[in-house]
Amino acid sequence: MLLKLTFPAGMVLAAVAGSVSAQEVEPARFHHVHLNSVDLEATFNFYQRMLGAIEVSYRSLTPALYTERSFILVTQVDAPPRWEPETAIWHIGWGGKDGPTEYEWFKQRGVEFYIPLTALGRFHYMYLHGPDKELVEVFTGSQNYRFNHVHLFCENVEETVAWYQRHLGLKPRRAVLPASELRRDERGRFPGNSIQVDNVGMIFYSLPDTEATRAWFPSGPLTKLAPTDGRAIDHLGFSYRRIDPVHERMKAAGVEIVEPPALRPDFGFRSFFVRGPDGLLIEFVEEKPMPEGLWD
Amino acid sequence: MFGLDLPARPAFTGALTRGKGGSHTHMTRQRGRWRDAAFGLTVFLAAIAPVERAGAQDEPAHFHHVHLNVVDPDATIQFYRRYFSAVPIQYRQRAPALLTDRSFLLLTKVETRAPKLERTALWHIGWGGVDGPAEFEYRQKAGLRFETPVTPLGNQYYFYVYGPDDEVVEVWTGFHHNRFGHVHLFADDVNATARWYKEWLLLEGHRRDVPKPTATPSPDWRPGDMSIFATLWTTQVMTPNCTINIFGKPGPEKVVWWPYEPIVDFEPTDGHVIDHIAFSFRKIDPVLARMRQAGVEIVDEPRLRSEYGMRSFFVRGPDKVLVEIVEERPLPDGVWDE
Repeated sequence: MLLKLTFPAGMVLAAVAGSVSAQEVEPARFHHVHLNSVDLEATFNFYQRMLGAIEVSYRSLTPALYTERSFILVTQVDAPPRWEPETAIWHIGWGGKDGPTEYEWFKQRGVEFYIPLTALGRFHYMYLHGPDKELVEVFTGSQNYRFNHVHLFCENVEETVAWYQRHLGLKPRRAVLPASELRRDERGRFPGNSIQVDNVGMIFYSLPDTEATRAWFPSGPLTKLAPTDGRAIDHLGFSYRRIDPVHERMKAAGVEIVEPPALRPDFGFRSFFVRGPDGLLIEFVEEKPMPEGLWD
Repeated sequence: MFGLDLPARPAFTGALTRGKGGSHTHMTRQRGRWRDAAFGLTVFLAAIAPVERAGAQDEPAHFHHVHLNVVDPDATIQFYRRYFSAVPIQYRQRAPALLTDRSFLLLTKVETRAPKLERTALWHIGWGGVDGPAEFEYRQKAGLRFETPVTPLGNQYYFYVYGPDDEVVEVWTGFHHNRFGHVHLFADDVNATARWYKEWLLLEGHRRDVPKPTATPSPDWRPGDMSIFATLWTTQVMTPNCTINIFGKPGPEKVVWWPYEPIVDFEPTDGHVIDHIAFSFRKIDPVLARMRQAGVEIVDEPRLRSEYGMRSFFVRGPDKVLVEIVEERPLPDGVWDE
């Protein structure tokens, strides 16, 4: 679901910027979604054939999926990872054009659904299960078939968005809302926020923690978020051309460093891991952006 | 019509395993090999063609860009962004362009509408699609103009959309994506044309010459009927990121896919709405030397194209198609070069 559709009509955007300035920090680029999979072949097949990702060999080392300007990296695991939406990453999302026909198209090919085709205004959404039951939304608002969003849950949307602004230099779509506007709608949702980074919209929702939220979150009230590590969707990766200064800056700012910078031999890049808000594992990769990195 | 590029398939020869503790993503596996597969057009059966990634010296050309002459670059950018999922970018931070996954659309602004392509060997450029009727209807509702409405062919559909400057853009539903996927050419002799691209650009495909069919299209042909393939003289060559389909040029027989006059002599593509197509190599000087020695017509010598910041030269390809050869690393692999 696109964020803008969830806001009550006529809501006035707050004009006041947050207390931190995005200008101080170089903006991160979106780099990858990292999946855990028990069956790599099934995962590569699914994202290529159902969602149009392009298989590439990442640095000629490891198969990866290229999605517009970023990647899906995959690690094989022995035991099926937990997929249930109980972490900061609710789902990853693709665009669609014609909901009903696409739904039939997916069904004919044996795709399983977490939420079947559902109308939302003049658009449709549906939640597919990936091969490891990870949740993949197809929403027809963008009228294309591109990978285009990551939908996240937050204990506190304002704080989470401010964290990305402070540490990743990414500016939210809306300035922080005054407390007076933080009311739930009839489906139990608080206003959310979003950040556009390259081809990916990061959409932030408050926890679906009441019975009313069951209307759009069938798993039932979610009151606490588990760390993403080891889940079907393990973490998100962002990139900088040089990560050491970023690592130093984050360490100095008190961000929890989960793993210091090191070469990841499977992918041939250096990276470090931090604990982001809401238990989200975040990797920072030393990499040039797409396609601009070609021209450095 | 009928352009296909099967997604590459991995051949998993090793196991990726997660390490315990320590390294976050420890894996051991052999380097992935892959296979590019393509549909043979005349038999319409998948033929597996392994592509070995050799050293840069004999690396095949990558498809680099389609170059359009347009009166309103902003309108063109919005059109391809909106209806063909292309991503607006600044090419080398200086020229508005569109990213089409692993290649580009580059634009030149012209004062008056460039002539259409119907007397050139460059027929159209093509995107994938999913559901033919629904995608056609969606674009129809959006007010787009069509040269050919949605037409069944076997289990698939195709239709031809006019771009803002009347360039023809195909949507072909062979795959569930809407990526840029092919360029469709006409040729006096499809075998000679395919061999040219294989020889000079080291492209895959066209493993053997194909005879010109003696059957002529039936006036009773109905959309959906695959028998049309028996009347088509066709082959294809592939870059790693784009398929080049080659059809024999439309003759005097009336065919459903060609609403214009038969093509007798090709006009050069230069100056038409699609001005030229471009391929890239990491180094272009050796390519130029080979071509020059063999007498390929060099239309414009290598130089820096300041408006795009890239070095390139132009040659006259078969059937008077203007072909640009750009010095550029491939996407995304080139980003990882040191």
